[in-house]
Amino acid sequence: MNTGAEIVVPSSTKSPNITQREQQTILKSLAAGLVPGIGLHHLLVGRKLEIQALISDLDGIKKGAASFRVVVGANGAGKTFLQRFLRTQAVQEGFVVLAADLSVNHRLHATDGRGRALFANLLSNVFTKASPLGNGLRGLMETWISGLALEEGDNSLSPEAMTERINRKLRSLKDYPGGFEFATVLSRYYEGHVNDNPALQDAALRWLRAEYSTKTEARQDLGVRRIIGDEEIYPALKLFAAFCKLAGYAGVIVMLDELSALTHRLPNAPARQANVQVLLTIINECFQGGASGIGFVLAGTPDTLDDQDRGLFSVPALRSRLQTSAPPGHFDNGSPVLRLEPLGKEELLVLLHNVRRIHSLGDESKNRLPDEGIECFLTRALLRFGRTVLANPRDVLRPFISVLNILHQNPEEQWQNVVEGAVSESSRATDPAAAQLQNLKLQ
Amino acid sequence: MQPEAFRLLHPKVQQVVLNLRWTNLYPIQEETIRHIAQCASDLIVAAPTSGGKTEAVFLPILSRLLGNPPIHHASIQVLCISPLKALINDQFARLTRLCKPLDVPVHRWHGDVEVEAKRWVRERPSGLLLITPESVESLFINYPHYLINMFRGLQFVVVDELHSLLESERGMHIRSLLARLKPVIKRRPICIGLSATLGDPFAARCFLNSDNPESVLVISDRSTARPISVEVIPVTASGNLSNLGIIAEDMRRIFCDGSHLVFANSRRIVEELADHFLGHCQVDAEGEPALALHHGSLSAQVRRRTESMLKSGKPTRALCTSSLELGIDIGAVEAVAQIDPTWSVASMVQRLGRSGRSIGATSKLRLYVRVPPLQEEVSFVELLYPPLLQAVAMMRLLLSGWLESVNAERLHLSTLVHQVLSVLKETGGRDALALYQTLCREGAFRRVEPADFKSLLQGLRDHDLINQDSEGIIFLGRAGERITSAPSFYAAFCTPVELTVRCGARELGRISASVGLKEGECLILNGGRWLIDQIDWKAKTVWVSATSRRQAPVFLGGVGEVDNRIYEEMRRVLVTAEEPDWLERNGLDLLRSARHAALEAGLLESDLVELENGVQWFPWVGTRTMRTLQLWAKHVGLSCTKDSLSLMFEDTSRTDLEKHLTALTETEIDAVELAAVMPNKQVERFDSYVAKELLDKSNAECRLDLASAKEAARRTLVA
Repeated sequence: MNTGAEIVVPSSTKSPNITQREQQTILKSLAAGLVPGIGLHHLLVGRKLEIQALISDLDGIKKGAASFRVVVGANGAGKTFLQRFLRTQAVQEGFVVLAADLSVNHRLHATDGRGRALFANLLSNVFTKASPLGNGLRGLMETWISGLALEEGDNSLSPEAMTERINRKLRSLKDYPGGFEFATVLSRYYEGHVNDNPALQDAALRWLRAEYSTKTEARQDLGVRRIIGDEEIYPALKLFAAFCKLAGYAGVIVMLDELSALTHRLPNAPARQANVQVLLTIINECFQGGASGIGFVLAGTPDTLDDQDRGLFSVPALRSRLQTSAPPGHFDNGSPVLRLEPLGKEELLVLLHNVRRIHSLGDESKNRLPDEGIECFLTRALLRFGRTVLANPRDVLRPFISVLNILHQNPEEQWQNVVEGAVSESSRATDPAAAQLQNLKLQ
Repeated sequence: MQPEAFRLLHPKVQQVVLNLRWTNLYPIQEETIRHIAQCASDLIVAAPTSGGKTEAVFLPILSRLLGNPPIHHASIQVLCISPLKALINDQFARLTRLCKPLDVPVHRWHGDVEVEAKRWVRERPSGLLLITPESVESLFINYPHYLINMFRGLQFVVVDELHSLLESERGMHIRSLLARLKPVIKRRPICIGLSATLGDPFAARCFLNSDNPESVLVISDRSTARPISVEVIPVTASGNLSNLGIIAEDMRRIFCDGSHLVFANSRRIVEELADHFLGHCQVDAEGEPALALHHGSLSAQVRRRTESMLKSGKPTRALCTSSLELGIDIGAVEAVAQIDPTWSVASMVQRLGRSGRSIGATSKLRLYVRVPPLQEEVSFVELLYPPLLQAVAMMRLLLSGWLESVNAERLHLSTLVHQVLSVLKETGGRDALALYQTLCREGAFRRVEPADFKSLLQGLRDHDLINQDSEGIIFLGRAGERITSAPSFYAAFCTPVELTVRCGARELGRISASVGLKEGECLILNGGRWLIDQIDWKAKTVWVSATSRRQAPVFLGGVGEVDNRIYEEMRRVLVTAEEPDWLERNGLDLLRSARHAALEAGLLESDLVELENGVQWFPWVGTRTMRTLQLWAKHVGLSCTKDSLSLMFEDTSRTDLEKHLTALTETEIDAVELAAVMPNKQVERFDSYVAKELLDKSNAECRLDLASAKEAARRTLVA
């Protein structure tokens, strides 16, 4: 059936079989305007160089290096998609991925619990090979413990001797600032494990998630004199990365989305400066070897860097470290900033082909929308937006999926009518508020 | 005690009631208990001050808290919003007594509460929280990340003194904050309003539940209505006795025993009257009630002292402004005096309700009206004695049971500006549609259209209050950051710069900086005369020492709007021959002479009075309509001057004016055009940031009344 053979379909998306679960998840997410959590390789279009750059970082981190990248692109350029794609790759390769959105209430630095809130979010969204959908902290701890037991050969050691061994194992952590308490809490978790004391284990996890707000409470529950404070988010991440290495993982990737929260949303200058200072420390250490086994992948809009008033480039120290020297139009694999251009028409066409294949579960004979139909749909949709480059692919994907659904459910319907209907329907602004305010640009 | 309602209470709450040694429940309490115990709809309890409203509401609420233990123990269960710190402190004491035996914690949170106590509530939220609207705002701005934890199990919201909030910026502020809280905690608590007697409960219903105002039950107190006794006394200065001096003498004669409240419409009158009591009439009679003062310029300490004097039961003469109108518990008051009519009948009723609270007692009001003495060159209007006319009209309306109705559903653009800044401060940034969603569509500002919201945002951008990034996200601009960082931002209303007045270490009170203070001049405050030694503008302090020189500064008094109906009634007072028995004899003489003057001038047949130099129009309309007519005159090129009752059109003939009036009734006029030529457009705190056209639109709606202006013209032409 595939007669319009001019479309170049990337080889990676040709082969794999789509499972029904992947199909359901992908279509549901796309129809809701979201990036799906699984099966991203079925959708992947372009971004070859960017992905190569990020994957090459993984190799470095495995060997004990550190990396820092900022993915920059307008909304809909695919920042989240790229982060998620990297996430699935990284956990496959044995990495631990921590992911969270930055926001006013989730900061890299704070004084009133909002730094700890970010750390808590990161450690609640732990992705590993065993927990590809997140929530993997407990599993990670269990992996560490079973690894220990394996190493020791058998369970014949007394609990005291075992604790002693653990302490020795964790000694390397104690070189880090705050490492002594970190190690103590880990051994408390182990104690809870061998003595079947889930309350102690929960307390240790709470501590690791920076959920203790006072030292008094932490001392009562765990016997440690410190907590992970609002101003120690980055040191705590380094400690966690060191621990993951000890537990046998390849390294830790920290993914932070919505970088603009730090540059544009913190409502006063001192708070913004304190957070940017943490970013600078992270960059310095990642570039100069102060950090190891950890990679940062941040995502933000172009303003996050370029805005003259508040963008990161308005800070000279950051500009000199982040600004790329590659001539325009050339891709510098080593640049810390990866700029994503919006998808062009050709790429969108490939994307729609991919979606159609997902919709028919890879069985091209079930396609009711011919290639001609895809082209027709896209041309009309782009015409409606009055440009060849779309701000956001979701504007096309949502009506496209409903076209596929309608054709699937109504075998007697002509595709021409359905495409016509879908495009004109989506152009009818039903909500006066949205019509006035959706794309409001203040002068 | 075994009434049915009592049995609905939780046994532990029953025990608390018994321990209070109450012998019975008021009917309003029984009705409220029945409702809250059995049902989940919103509710307004309307009763005069200290009609037992607080207990009526909190007894059944506590019963429900004890009856079904909440899933989330760690949360505030009841949020009680009160407009005054003093009210919160008062209720805190009362509710603690009630809740202590029940193990339900009671917390308070306002500007004067210690930081540690606030931290405790944030981290261990539970039970009842009494709080000011401004402190709720500070929660959104400073602790948005605590909101979920603090309120996730919130079951009830109680808004105290609802009637005082209906029309005001603070009322809208509360509505907006409550609407913003709902999506955060993902639940809608039951909302209960405590109010004075309401003229028209619709606005109050909308306040609590704008989606479904009809579903809000109103429980009004009729049973405790007490017999009323009123008197109206006109006072005119004569010889070397000023009118306040005469009033002071009269009060000494009439109010000999028991406590009484003397209300005045401005702080200045309170202070001047106090000066008369302490200075002029130095005949210090034995057993005279102790003098105490209460108004917004006095320090909290002085105000608290006055309140506790009243509570103690010791005979006290308290001179006050509206600050004592709200429901602070002040014990038994024998009678209430009022100097000059209030702006509204509702406020007069509220003040009257302060007296005669004990069972079987009568509510007594003595209304003094200061009538200026007639000068040699007297105008026609002065012959009608406008202040007296207004007092008589308002008293007639009060006795007939009429109350002003409230127009709460205006645009509230100033408060919307405040809330836009607040949401941006809370969240760091939002796109325009999300802001509209939060504040207008799902929030309290339902009347604001998307197009208007758009111009509002543009206006804020022009003032650098907000800024926008290339993705469309709006965030605080430089000026916006500055405004929202000041603690004064928490209030949605204007707080004038005030200076603290100190004599040595003692704080006397606060005085508005706008009155033009100078070193070496005198001021009177807290009943004393003070010489200004030094003004420290940096420390915002005025250093004074006691003096005997006399010279009063001008305190700025609030300006209210008088309802159309009151002026209609004033006309009726002129037309009828009725002689009310509550009007003092001298007042009856003045009234007769006013009626005679009206008859002679032909005012009873026509609203237009022809004079040598022009024509005078008596439209008999309230503040808003009068303002509209003035603007209309300006708009059509008629020059006119306004006095308390009429518009004077100089060099205009009657026929000319009638032509114009006909045109007014027939042609389409855009109220927004009239609003555009208003002299003082900016009234509320953030009006100066509202885009010009938008402000005109809002003013046209809430400060003008074109329909009734046309109606007045029609009435005049028909006669």
